[in-house]
Amino acid sequence: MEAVVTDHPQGEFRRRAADRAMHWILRIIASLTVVLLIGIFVFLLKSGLRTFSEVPILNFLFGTRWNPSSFHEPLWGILPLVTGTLFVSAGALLIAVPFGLSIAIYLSYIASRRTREILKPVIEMIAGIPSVVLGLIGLLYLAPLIAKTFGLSNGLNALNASILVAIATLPTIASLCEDALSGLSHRLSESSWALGATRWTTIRKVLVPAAAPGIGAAIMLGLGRAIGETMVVLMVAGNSLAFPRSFLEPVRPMTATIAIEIREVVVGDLHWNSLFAVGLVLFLITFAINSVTDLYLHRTIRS
Amino acid sequence: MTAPIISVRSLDVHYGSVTALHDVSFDIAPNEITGLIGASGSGKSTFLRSLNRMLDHLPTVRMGGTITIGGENILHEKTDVVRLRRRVGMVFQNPTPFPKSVFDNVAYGLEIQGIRNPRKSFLSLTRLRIQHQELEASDDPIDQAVVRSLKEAALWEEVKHRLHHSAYRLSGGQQQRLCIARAIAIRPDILLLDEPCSSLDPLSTRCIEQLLLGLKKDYTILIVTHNLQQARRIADHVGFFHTGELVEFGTAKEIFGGPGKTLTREYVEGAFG
Amino acid sequence: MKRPPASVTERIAFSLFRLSAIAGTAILILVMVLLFLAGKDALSWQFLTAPWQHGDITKGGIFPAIVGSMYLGLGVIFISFPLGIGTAVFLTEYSGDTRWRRTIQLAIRNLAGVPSVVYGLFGLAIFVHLLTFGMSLAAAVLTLSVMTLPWIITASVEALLAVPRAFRESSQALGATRWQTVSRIIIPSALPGCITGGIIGLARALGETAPIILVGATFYLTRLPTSPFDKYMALPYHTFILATQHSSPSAPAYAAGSALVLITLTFVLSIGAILLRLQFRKKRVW
Repeated sequence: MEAVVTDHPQGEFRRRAADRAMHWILRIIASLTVVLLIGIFVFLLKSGLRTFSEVPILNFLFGTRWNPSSFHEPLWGILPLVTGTLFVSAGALLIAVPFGLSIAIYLSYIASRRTREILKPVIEMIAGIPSVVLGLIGLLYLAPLIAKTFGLSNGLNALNASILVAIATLPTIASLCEDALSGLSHRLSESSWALGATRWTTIRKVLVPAAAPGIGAAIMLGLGRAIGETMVVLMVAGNSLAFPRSFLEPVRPMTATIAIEIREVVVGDLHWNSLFAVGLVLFLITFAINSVTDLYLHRTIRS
Repeated sequence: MTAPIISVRSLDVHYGSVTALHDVSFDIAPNEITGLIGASGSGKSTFLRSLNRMLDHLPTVRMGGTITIGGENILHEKTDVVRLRRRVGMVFQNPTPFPKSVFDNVAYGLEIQGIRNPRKSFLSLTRLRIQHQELEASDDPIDQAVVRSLKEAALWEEVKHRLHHSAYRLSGGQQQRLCIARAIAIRPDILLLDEPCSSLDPLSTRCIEQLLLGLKKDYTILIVTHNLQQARRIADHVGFFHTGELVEFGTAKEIFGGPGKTLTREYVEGAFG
Repeated sequence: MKRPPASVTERIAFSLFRLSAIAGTAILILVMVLLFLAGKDALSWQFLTAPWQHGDITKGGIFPAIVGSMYLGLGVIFISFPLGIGTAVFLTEYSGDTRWRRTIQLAIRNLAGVPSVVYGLFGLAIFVHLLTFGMSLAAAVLTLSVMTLPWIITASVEALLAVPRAFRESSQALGATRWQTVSRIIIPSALPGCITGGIIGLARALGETAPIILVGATFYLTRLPTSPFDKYMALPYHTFILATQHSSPSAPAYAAGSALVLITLTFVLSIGAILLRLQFRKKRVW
């Protein structure tokens, strides 16, 4: 049988060369992600570590005052900043976790299919609100409201920031919890009903515990987002370097500090380096949260 | 039996620690239909896929022994699998047309060899406006190959007025014949079919069986099937696989008439009810 | 199976769940309404199309900020889409289940968790100072692209995994090289999914403010940028400065106006992408 298709040696060579070349090009492109992650870490480390040649690392981590621009006695303790971050993210999670979990339970067990299909994208649209917009809402509306409710001179404080950061993390938590709950087998709830449990007991005693690993991961990722949130805290947290004692006091989390001070410092001096060190602390915290979540999820999936 | 086109010697295939095929040896004659039968998991599909090295893509697979096609051991690590697959075409269990027009589906195998498709439709936006008479008279190699393959696959009359339609607008049986047309467009020597009729109705199945009987004058055909009647209707030789071994290989008459091995008889008779 | 009857606690609990869902929706509507109330006085044709006036802000508009954000968006598309889709193709089509693939996946998950302000620090150190791009469009585009990359990769991987394995096998069985299979069959089939996922990522990137505070947007510009190394204005930065650092009495209204334009831009992009995706899913044949 005569072959209609003749081999074209030259074209053949070109195709194979293209195949090999593309393999390597794609491999290099994909490796870029690893390079970037390491690059980010190395750059933070490079500038950040220089801080510690002048400021002892313990003074940096546990010092209770941050005042780098003081002429007489500059102080580099990030504890008030870390506490600010903790206040705001803890407050945000206190609001967003029950709220988000309720939405997730509603979406996965109570809502009709149609309602779910409309509501889920609506909740996810909240993630599309730029955080500068949330900050603006906080400045214009929430701050006066909080000031009036609690009789304060202004409403720019940890509470205000917590509420808005909660809104920012809500879609993450709600949608990941929903994934965890919807991923459960239908048989689980049916066998619980068969034992005479009500729907409410089933949700409380069977479904939520069964989805606990996923819900835990959702909370962790929400925490990561809350810690990294910058614009909201920059605009409404009140910018005070005093050590916070209550939610009604102004705070200045780590992210806000970096954003406020970085444009006013001399490139490469101690203050500049110390802000990279703050960035390094942020990076390590979020990295740890992600890794722990990852490990935890992998372990529970395997077992 | 004429000189074999495929010689298999002591073929072993392992997936990780699982043995899928053990010590398989036999010869396949050209221009015949060879049916491969056996229960699911017996290794018949694995055998078929080792003939065009489609197992290479599985991460843990290991192969031993030799498969000689046209005098060349295709299991050798230096074998050019791309060239091998142009000589050994394959049709899968479910129809797998690409999301392209009927014409472009058949032309694909030639296009990838660097032949320019004169009817290239860009994102199905441009339509193939040419009349089928013109296409039949065209002397462009792709046009000719498409017309010839569709005719050989007994599909031309059904699709000649809608060559620019998406392949997914064809019926299941037509889609499977399109896949056969796509496979034979590059004129392979050997055509492998992996349960090609399992998702089709009896009428389409019969149509494809007729088609295969017509194609065997040009191609050597190996077909995996769980349908014993089908093997009996169309196969010249039949191989029976059981738990990774080739239990028996012989003419269809031998296997279905009076097989030598008890295992084969049990399978053939059991399945006949 | 029939659902068991509801007790009183169950009714109360369920109405609370329902209420949360309603509240969630209300947040979205409330944000839009409040923003509109605050910004409606600033909105006008002039606001959208006129150059910015520094002295009396009511005389000018935010046109340069809109243009700046568009440039940023285009830049991100040109850089992070090809890189993101390329990485996704490597992960799904080339890498197999190797340790290197798992390393890359781990890196992507961690990159997605890095706070945006840290991306800002990185961009400031690398693009602004080390590569001496200065506080330019190029530095901002690169920083935002790095930040968007993990989102685009995740969306693209999902789209590529949705392409049936049969397409890959059929193409390879016809003697196609891997790259031919990828470029002629896999990418065309997955591209709609990659692009719609990418647009949603792009919308998020356009709203990000912290990185461009660090790598340096400008609040006042006399002319539009003409090269990648020019200074630029951007909507989120403009909103931020008007909201926090401008003394004009009409600054809050103008901040809300800019925010409205920004949120409209991001919502149009993401809703458009969602609708587009529904359309593609409906038309998808496999």
